[in-house]
Amino acid sequence: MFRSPRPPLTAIVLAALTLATACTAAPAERPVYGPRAATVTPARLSETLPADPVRMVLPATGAESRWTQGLDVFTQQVRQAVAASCAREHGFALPGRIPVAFIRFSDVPDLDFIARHGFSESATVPAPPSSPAPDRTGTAAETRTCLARGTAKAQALRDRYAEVQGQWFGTIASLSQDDATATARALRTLPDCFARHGIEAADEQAYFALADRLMQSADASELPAQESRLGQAYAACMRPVEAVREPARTELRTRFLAAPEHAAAVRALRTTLVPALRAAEQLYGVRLVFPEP
Amino acid sequence: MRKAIAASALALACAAGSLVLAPTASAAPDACRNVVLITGDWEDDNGSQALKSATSTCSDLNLTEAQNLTATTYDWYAGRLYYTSTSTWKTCSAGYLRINNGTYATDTYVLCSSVKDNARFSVDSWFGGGDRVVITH
Repeated sequence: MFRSPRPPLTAIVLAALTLATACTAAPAERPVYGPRAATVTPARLSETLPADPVRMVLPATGAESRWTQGLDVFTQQVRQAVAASCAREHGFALPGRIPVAFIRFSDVPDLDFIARHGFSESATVPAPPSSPAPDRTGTAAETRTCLARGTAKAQALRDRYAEVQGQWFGTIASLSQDDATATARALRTLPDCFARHGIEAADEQAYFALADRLMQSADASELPAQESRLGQAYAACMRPVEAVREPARTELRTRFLAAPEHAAAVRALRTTLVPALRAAEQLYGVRLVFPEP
Repeated sequence: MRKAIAASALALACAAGSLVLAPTASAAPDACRNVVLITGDWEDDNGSQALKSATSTCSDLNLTEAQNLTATTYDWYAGRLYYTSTSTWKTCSAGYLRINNGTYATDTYVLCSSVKDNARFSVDSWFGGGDRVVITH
């Protein structure tokens, strides 16, 4: 571009100007590729249940949380299926809705999944079997009625595990709040680790903020590469944190399961939950599936 | 090869630079907009979606009030954004955040960051939909 040699000061000014210009340009114009640049394959689905159903309802690891996510998506899909069937019976179509999605828990990160697929992507929730929908849009009242019917069926399933699950989530929440532990020490390694991956973030929250920002400013064609790079760095840096938290959660769960106050609920999970889910699959035409990296 | 490295370094510098230079979301509350949302697709377009303010000084979706109207006194909440670049809904990077019922200052619970002006957003909650939340944006 420049044919004649330039004195060093001018070179510095030029570099600064270039940087300033480039930085005011949308980041989309400067795609960032990590050392293992993206071939982003879509996430898969699994139908495999854990041998012990408690792991599906009371997850201790990011990997186990896939079952938890899938279970919740299943109940949402039961709700949609029942509501849609009700609407069809009454000759109207339900209005369009935001698609159901598998969503991860901030406190129980699924690092293998995030490493491969980034933060905002998950496996695609299977579309419900479609029947020809009536043309007519329902009135507000009849739409509400059918939605309520769907909600009731979904809630009946959730009632089988929601209370003990809530108690479990409360138990592991205390793990995140304890400052004086190995968890806090491990979390303090994050900023340096992020920096080694060329990313400036003081903590997880700052990392999520940066990821959101970069994802929204990227071109559609660059999104997979950005997701891949951000996911890989996060997963790599969080490994030491999860290396502390996973055994801690697993130990907590062992005690939780052994506690007398949870005995009845745990027994119910181990005996009646899966048959009820299988029956719901048959009755409502919905598959119980889980995201798989 | 060198050009690619230079481009990457430049992009990293830009990313870092823009992160450092961007103002923190410490805007006065009345410089941000509040919207009440019902979580999930409960009410479809009627109360469960909103557009990111293009005139406020808040760039994030802050959850500043949570009311789980069912039995529990907390819920998990996740922000979802509609990306016009791919015509799909995406979940924000943080995923589900556990939040007790109550009111909170901005920057306490950031569901989504750096949300584009007029981006369509929604909030999911774990224990069913139908929670009432206030999003300050």
